[in-house]
Amino acid sequence: MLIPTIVVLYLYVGTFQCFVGPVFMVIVTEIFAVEIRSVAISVTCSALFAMTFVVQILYTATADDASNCTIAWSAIFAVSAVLTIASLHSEKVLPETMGIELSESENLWKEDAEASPDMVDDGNANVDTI
Amino acid sequence: MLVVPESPVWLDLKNAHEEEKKSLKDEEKESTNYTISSADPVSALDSLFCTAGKYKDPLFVSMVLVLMHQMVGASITILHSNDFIHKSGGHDQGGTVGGLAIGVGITHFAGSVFGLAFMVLSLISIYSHSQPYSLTLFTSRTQSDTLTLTLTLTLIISHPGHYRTPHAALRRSDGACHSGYTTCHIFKDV
Repeated sequence: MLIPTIVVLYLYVGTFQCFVGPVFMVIVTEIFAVEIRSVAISVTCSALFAMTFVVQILYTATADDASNCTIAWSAIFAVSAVLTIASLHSEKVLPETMGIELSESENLWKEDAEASPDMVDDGNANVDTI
Repeated sequence: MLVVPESPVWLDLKNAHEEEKKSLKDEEKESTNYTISSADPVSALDSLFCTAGKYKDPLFVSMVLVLMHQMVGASITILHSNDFIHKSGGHDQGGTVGGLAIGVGITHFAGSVFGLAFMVLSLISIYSHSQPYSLTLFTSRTQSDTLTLTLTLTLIISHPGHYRTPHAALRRSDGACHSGYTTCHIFKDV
């Protein structure tokens, strides 16, 4: 069983890093409005590191205890993979940024914001056009 | 960090507008509609979380992506690859497990270079044709996502069997190892 495991491991790691890994950061850097982009990306990266810590701690603490934990983690990973694909392909959740200028990315969510009567502009941001 | 130039946002916050425009000189050649933010970080943080749900959708999307990015098991697979290889029948003699685990790291690096090369080539293509910056990195997201999903499920489904089958075959009904085998309990061996 060693060779199939090695082949799948290499394919999985290579494919993940070719596509989903870097594209995740591209998506995050494009969906926030310009005036809060730097802070939003910082918050997202902090959440990413925190999530990495939590997953590593939980997996290390449980994976070798019993085979049931291994199966449970396998189920978690499988469900997460399906949900990731579903979330990336949901037009309602993730808007298409193709053909949209960087400075116009704040309008990606405008339809939803206009539909919400609670939405107000706090006026904190001061955007200069150079 | 000493060689990193000061960002236009930082210069704007310090009211160094001349230096700010100078730092944006290259960007101005490529875009006539370049905008920067001069909101201070505290105000931006307040806007992100407290502005009546204005940014709740992008914040929700980013947090979902963070959650899924880690929960698909990529970091686990990379950091625990030596365990997976060992439990699938790899032997420590001759450095087999270590060598194959290093190979996983090299594959990770190669994949990163491949992905980044795609991004750079995409950006060069976009700017050279004066097209707006966009997320059009690949022909179809469906292709890459389907491939990743398939490989993820293949890897995950194969693991429980790898944990138990080879070692269970080496055990007798009373739990002891068959003659000639000194290791047959995987969770005690590693």
